[in-house]
Amino acid sequence: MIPIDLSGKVALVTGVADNEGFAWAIAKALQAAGARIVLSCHPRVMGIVESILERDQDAESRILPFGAGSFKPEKVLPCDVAFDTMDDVDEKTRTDRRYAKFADYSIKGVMEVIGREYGVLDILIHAVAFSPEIKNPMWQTSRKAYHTALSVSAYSLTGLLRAAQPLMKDRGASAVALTYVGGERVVPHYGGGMSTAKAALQIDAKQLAFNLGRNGGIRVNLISAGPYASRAARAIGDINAMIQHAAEHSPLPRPIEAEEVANTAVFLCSPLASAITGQIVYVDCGYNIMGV
Amino acid sequence: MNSIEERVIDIISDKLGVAKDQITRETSLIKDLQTDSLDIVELVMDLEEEFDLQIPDQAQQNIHTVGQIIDYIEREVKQKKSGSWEGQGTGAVTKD
Repeated sequence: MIPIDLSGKVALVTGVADNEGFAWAIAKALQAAGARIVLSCHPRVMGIVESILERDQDAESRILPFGAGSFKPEKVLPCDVAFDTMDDVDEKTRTDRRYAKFADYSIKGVMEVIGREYGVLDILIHAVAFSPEIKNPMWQTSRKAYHTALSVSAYSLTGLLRAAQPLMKDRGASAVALTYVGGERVVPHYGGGMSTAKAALQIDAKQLAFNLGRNGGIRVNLISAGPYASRAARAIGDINAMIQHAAEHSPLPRPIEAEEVANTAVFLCSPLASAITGQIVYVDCGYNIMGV
Repeated sequence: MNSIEERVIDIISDKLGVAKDQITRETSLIKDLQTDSLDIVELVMDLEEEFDLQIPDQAQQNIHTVGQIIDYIEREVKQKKSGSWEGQGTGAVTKD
């Protein structure tokens, strides 16, 4: 058998906000492959994530695939990827009681904890996307929301990798970010600047694959997942219609499962994918190849 | 043990950082306590854990005041008890 063994590898999974999304499934699959999991969550969802990691009601969602036991991240750190350092935090955010309970929720803060506790980082999963106007079509998107979408959903990959590079270099490390076909072609519901953010993320990942391939042998890849009704996606509106449309028009006529995205992420982070970098892997039942 | 009302107000006070004497049955979650959707998710999870029940999304949409939370939980807890006496599931009974 060909093994995927990530035993002892340190993995940072960003963007966990519930026990339904891709980040949750990826983190579980990485742990099932042996990795040590650090989660980073937006400060506003720390309480939610801590609850789903502990509550009896959520025990079933913590069962790992492949009979590998139960999901137990080693650390859960607050991180708002809009902030590279705490100096970037605006006054309104800094004084909000929901943020004020955390001393450091910047990208730098997360990397400092990982550096101190582990000294290295082998795997970085970027699963963060946000637009304050996701329900607005492109032409009704404000400049402010557009910039927020780009900052949080696209630039954050650069910010995270820049801060993580000293921990990831020269050890076969790998980063995987999540994108969507709405960054390449018109998906009408995908507004608020999110389509722009995914387009930016896709070229950024290729630039970063080149930059970091030459500076530490770090691989950077993207997974373009088919539509999936995560809690976040349900905010986009009519996600079920998008799922049904994709299922009806794909070579494999069915919706995707979060576990299929998770398994692909594990492969891309494993030595089996050692020559794959700067790529977009479509986990979409083949939807993207179709012309009609 | 404290009444359901006291326990609900304790949780809201703790979660949202509001003094208990500022919270009455008439207190509106959005207008008075300035909650947003993430606050509500967190609050619901704490309430579910405290009272060992599930509050479905649909029920959450009909809850706007502290009094409505208390009424909902009192109803569910009562139903759960009567359900177990008769040995029947009520839909509100959670798994062990």
